[in-house]
Amino acid sequence: MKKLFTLSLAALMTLSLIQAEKLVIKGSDTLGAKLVPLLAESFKAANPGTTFEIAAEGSTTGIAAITDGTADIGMSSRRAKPTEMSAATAKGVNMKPTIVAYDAMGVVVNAANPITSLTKKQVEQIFTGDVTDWSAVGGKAGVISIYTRNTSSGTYSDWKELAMKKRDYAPSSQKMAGHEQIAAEVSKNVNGIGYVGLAYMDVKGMKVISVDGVKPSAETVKNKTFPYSRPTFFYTNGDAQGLAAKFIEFAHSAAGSKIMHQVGFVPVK
Amino acid sequence: MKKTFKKMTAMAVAFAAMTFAAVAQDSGALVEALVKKGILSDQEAEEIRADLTKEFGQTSAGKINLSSAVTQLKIYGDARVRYQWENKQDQTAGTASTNNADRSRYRYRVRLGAEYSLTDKFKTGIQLETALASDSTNANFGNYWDKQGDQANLGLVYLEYDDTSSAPFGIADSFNVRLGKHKQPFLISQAWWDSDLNPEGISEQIGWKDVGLKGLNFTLRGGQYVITEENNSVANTDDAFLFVGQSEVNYKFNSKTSVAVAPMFIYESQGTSLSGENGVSTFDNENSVTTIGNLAVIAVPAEVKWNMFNLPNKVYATYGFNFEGNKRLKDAGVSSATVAQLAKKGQNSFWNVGYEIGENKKKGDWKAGLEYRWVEAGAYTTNLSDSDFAKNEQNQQGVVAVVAYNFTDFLTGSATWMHSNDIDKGIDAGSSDAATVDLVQLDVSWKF
Repeated sequence: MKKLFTLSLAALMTLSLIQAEKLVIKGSDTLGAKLVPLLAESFKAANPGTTFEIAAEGSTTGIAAITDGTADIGMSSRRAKPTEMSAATAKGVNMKPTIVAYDAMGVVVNAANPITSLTKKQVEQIFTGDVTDWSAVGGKAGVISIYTRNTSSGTYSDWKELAMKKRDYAPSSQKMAGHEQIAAEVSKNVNGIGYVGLAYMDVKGMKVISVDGVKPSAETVKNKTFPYSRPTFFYTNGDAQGLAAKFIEFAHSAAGSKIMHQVGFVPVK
Repeated sequence: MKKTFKKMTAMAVAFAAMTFAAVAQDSGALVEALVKKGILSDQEAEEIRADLTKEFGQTSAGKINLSSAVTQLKIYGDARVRYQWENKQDQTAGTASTNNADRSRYRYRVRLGAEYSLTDKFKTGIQLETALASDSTNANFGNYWDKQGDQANLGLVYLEYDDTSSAPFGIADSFNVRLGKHKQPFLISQAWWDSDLNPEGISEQIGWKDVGLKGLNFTLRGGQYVITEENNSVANTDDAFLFVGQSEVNYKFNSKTSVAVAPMFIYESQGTSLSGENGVSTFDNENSVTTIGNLAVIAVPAEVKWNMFNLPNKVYATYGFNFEGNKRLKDAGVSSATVAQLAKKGQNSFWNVGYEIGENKKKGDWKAGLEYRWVEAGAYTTNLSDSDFAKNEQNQQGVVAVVAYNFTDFLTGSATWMHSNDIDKGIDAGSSDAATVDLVQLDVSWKF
């Protein structure tokens, strides 16, 4: 009887330990909207008992969560800033980036817009407001409507760096909550222009245009010929350990890469 | 072997960048190039970048955490020590202390400033400087090294909007607004706007380039400034304002040759009241803060710039006229009879003409200048004019000569001589009116 009790207790403790395997992931909505939840579902199927807490509220929150120790993995669509690194170091946190996948931001216009290609310079001029009418870049006359991500998004600042030489957006630009909203607005507005990730490019009423003659694709991102691509990151405190390490390894596996392809990201391998 | 090479390269990049922390932030391009050449993988590059960023965070610059609205911070300062000799001889015989008074002065100044470039084309800045007077930054040595006069005061505090990158409102090529205590935006000789004088209020400037002809530029400027804030419940003590407007036409033949003409008006809003802050109602006095009013000036500054002997040259001149000059004299205490007499002679105009050659930008640079000034008794206000010339009195004419040399990029030595004498000996405006004033200034200045 005593032996049975001990065995039951041990089994219960083991079960509770298995159930306690929870991974907290916070940060970028670019990663957290689709990719990471799908990776988590697939990971859970292969690792029963694992639970996830995923909060996608922007890259800044992901990096801060690693510094504060409130997450195991911080998702970020941008590199940590020097001040964020300093804050982490001051708290004894060794901020380590691991590239999850590559993301590309394609320039999209309304399907009825005759424009099929722009130069990098023209893209910069449009988004900064130097050029305000489509006729100035070879299109039909019409005031350009610019759609961008909102200021808390890592994509918002990445686009400034990648496409606008760090200049400010045109004051007339309209801030959208997500890629879907940008795509929806551009598909409705014949004079609209915006940028969306690879996963959001196949939308009715909208088309992706070439930049300096190159369209965004897995190939052009990997061979670095498309100018507006960026790595996305998992930040951890030092080398990832335990469940976090297993999850990152899974993201880089063949199964993880398949999911990335499905949602429009370009896997590392 | 390849792996070892990659590791060594990565370490070399990291070491080089960490050793020279100042360039750590610029090593991104080098890392990127190594990735493109296949020497580093993207992941290795990211780890190096992260290490560099962490290392940068340990440097002095990396520890400064500026607001995200700040895109650039410029910290600047300069200091100057000065020996000044001056001699003033009065129109009428007075006491020895005021007539033919010789004086040596040992002075210094310090200015410390910070200019923050902000997003959305805004800037803000502050500047601390020695001295209290609006038109001086000098403090005095002496008094057995006490600290009186050594206190720092706020010389500038402003918010500026500067739009030159795109056509503001679609109607011009540039647009600038300054709010607060700021540098004046006008094209005007230092003779008529003291270089230490920073107006308080709002300034606007709007410009057009290549108007009908390449190189022909047109600029409009305006300024609305508070002069005094008074107790409105007291009779004849309205708040006083200074309004300035200017339109400049500038033609640039090339980058070094240009002609500019910039007619302007200067108007003090206060009427005939003499409510100066310190109660002084005369029209002279050094560092005067008297607000007499009766200032309705039209002036036409102009300048021509060109290169000669491989040096910049400039000829400049101003002619100005105060339409309320007679009233100004009357309110300053000159009798009606005298005003009538003076009016016949004309005491309403001021002018200057000068020539400059050279510049003081880097080691070995030199500059020389010669200028003639003429300012009649009711023509202008001593609150705006160069406070050094003629001990800031009017009814004076004279010369200003200056030479300056850069010993290093930051260290400059200069010598200035000013001599003036009275235009009309008949003006009875008190015993302090100078017959002649001589002044020599020997300066050593350095920037940091």
